[in-house]
Amino acid sequence: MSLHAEGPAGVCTPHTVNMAAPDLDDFYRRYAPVAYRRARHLLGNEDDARELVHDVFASLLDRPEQFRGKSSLTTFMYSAVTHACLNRLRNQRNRARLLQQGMPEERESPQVRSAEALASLRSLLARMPEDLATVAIYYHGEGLTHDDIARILECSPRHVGNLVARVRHFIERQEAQP
Amino acid sequence: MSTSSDPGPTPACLSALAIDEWNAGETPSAMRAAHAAHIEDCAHCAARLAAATAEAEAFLQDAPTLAALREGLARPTPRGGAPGDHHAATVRRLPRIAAVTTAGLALAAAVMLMVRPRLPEDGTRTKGSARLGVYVKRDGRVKRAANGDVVHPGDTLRFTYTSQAPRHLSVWGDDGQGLTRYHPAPGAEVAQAEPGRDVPLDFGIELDGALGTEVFYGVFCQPRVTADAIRAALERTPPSPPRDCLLDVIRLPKEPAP
Repeated sequence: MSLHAEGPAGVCTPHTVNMAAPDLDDFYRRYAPVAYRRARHLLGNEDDARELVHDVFASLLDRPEQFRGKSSLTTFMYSAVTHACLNRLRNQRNRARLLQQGMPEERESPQVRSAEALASLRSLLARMPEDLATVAIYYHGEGLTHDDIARILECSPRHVGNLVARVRHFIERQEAQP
Repeated sequence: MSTSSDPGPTPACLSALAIDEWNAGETPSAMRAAHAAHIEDCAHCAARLAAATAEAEAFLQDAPTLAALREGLARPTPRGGAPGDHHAATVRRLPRIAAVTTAGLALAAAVMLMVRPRLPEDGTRTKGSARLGVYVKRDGRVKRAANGDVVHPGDTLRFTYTSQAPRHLSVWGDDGQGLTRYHPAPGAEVAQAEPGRDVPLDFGIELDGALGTEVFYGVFCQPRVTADAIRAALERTPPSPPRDCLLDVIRLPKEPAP
């Protein structure tokens, strides 16, 4: 089984592995802490992070079929939280507030050189196409490898590399604007 | 920041995803051996694993559990002047729902109540292997309350218990005018509390307008102890548990809403 199935156009496509929906109670205990930590990291705000975890698990409750077809529940949770964070960042009011608040202090990513760089990245996320913003979060925001990102997005590392390049190009264009 | 015991990251260090998958037991088999070898040799990654585990434990201690949160706070209705009810708050007995039949239902309750929980204890409560928990619903939002948290008239309280062993549980309140037994329901002498964590109790309380400190007692007894004996013990100064019982106390100052 390949974890890096790729569609004919190079886009990311789900794996074909079927995994039974997990016990949601156990799922909460195992993955809510991870969801919370990532949300807090990405949003830079504990209260927003808790609300986001709430929203993610509420969504899972409404549509438990989201579990199916996933090879790793950890990568599934990464994807769900990232998507939710992006939605939140795109919210105009939250975005403005986040930008005013600045960045969280905790940073692990070796790719991230400075808080200023991440602040710029966060402000850009709301304007990026979703596929690029997602990759930007993983790569620039969390320091994940191409292989890691490929496993989360369920596509090839090569495709991730292309997306990372597009992110860089997008950022360069934004920075070039007056 | 690295410490003397944590030399900091190297290019070979595990990614955040790898750390999380390792903790979840989901490391892809092809990577397992390499990760294990790295963790054994890398103080930085070992520290990250330990930190992630500790952080997860802290979150779960702080956040409501699913079993405890299977239903929201119910809208209270007047209690009807039960004997000995000096409390002006209203109490509603909630329908006893059959133990959660599906994990989905449990998750539903969890997400309904999992809103900004706070640390449950501040050191002033009686410690032991059994304790009382309380959730406050205000303006449609629910949060876990800690001992000493300020509440307001109109807030609705919901209680849970955590016990490592089967015990008889009773819950009492004192608003300064006298003791009221909230649990078990009037007419019942004892209530068995099976071992569990944050198990919800079948009543809610809406706080009245009288200001002051609301004190709630959770009395956990392994032998059966009569309500009169518990009342007598709680009416001592200071209140103390009957013999072979554990006592947990939650004090919630009630102040005007801002």
